[in-house]
Amino acid sequence: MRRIACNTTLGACLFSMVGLAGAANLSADLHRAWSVPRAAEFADASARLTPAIAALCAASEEAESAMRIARRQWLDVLTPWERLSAVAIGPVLERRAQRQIDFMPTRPRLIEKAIQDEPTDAAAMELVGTPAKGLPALEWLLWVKPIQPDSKACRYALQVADEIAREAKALAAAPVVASDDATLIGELVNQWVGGLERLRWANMEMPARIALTNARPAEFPRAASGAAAAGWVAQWRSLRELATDTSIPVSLDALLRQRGADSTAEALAQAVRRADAAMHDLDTVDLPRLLEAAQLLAALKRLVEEQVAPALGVNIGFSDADGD
Amino acid sequence: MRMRNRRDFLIGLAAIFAAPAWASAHVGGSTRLAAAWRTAGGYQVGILQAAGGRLAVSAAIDVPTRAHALLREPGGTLLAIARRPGDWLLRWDEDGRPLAWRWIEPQRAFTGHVISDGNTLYVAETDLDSGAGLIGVRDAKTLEKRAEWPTHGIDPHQLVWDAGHPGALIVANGGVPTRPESGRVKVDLDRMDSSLVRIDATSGELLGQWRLDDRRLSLRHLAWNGRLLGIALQAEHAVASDKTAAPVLAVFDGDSLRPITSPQPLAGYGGDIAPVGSGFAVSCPRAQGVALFAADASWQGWMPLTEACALAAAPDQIWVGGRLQALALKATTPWNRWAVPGIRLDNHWISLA
Repeated sequence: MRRIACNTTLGACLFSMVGLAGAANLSADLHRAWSVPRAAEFADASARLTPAIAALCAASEEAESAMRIARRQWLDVLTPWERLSAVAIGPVLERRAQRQIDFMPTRPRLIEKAIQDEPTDAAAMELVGTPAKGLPALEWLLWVKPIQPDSKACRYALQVADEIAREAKALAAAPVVASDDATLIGELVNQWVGGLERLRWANMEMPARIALTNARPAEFPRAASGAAAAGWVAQWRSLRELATDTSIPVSLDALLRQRGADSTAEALAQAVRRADAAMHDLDTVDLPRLLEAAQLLAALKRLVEEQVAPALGVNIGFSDADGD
Repeated sequence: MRMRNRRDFLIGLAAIFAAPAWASAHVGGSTRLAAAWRTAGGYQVGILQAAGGRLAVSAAIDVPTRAHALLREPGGTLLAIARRPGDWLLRWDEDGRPLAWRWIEPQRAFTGHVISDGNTLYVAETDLDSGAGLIGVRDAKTLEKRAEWPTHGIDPHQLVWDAGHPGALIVANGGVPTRPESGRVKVDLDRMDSSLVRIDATSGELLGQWRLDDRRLSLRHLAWNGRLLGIALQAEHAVASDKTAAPVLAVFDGDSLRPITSPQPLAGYGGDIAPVGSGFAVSCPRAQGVALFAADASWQGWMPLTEACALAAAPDQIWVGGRLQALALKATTPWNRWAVPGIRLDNHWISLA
């Protein structure tokens, strides 16, 4: 097995020597061009979150300003996180980072309990369940029940921010387990489809449909911070780049063209362009327009499942749906 | 011994069908099936009507994600339930009118099957936090959840009433570990733990649990024939040859559970199961056909059909749904192949005849 070790601060990778007999090129390319810079961006932003929360906790007369800065910093962490986790591959998948950092919906009751338990370090935070930690918990502490300086809640928020920064650093430093090309492509395609479906269904369409069938306002993820639409944009950008960006040597487009499947690559590019146009300037109020965009994402998903995956030798067709 | 041709299959079918009264009925005539499918435009549930050599869509409802199993309720309404992602339950009618949507609670997922006693729905669900299998106990009228009971396993799939123990449920815990974030990518298959459990339907108490010796066989779909429960299996072996040769049927007599071998490889994937006469039919979409087994679980025959999966037991025949065609199988009389134009059926359908 070959491992790719990455330096957190520099976002650079060193390649260890135990390899897969030359079969790990795509894996190395994907992680060098995609996972490593995304993880480095997330780690850099997360490192600035803890000082912002600490300043809020220590604020006396400038608490409002400190809160604005802390919220801004949370939003600055969100974008690189959405970018990194939009397609859960490599260390994000191996470390179950989505669950560790982005457990939704957060559990206010468990947050309140954790605040009373007053964890003071990483070891104590290990005993706090994931539903009370991560970015959604911090969003709740910053927007829903805003923390006050010099309070138990503020000290807990500091621990939550610290833990996010630790996990971000670990993600950026994580050795990437190199895999053979077929396995890598299979994981990439499956996780890309999974990421698209998470954006299309869980984050956009399902909340909209629940709102429409129950005649109540939609409850999108990140609604408290007002960052729902920003989250969609960041996720979509990653999905789009991993599909068709020519600067990424392991994009779906590049993989298709390497195999001579140019017509499928063209069809993918067209479907991505249509979805891209629909994803511009979405908001959480215009639900019909949001559902139109979701339809185009669904069409893109079908195309990847039915044309792109077979062209890349990946089985995700109906009759291969294991466990049904 | 293999039986691949039509004549051999008919002999096998005749051997396991008992009553001849239906033999003169027109094959497939006036049959309607409730099904879930996918079109070029997305997912739907609806009604298929057999007429003129084809199954035509007579009613359809767009659904946001894939639907899996269907259930006809005592009052004639229908339920369709989502799987992967399992977020919704839909009550609808045969005219294609949605009557009620129920969305799953946070950190829960429907796993695709539901049964009803008229007052209460028992729904297979998963706790997304822990991965634990649950029976969601819901008010049949409002679809609201009343209680949750553990299935004492993971990856619960189909559940049925226990024919041998009135008031009890049988649940197939598929046992395949999955994570919300890894979608179709399976993890930790060494931790597979599939089981059949008997659950008291009033208290949720565990009354019994059975496992196969081969822990890489996932128990998934269930059908009774008298007091014998047939279970369609799906193999998860790491070695391809083990998977290909794996059995697709197990039987449970109320006390013991055993796998049934077949004389030909069936790709280790049973997609659906239905009682046929005194035996069972198991669809095998990866082997592209339907396997027939007799009441004593002995092999009776094989009918090729591309992507054969959905099975619907009707009083005098079984309907088999495939990729482009469906079969209405009857003993002694010729069966028809019905075109299934423009749609791709999901794993299950039910007869409304």
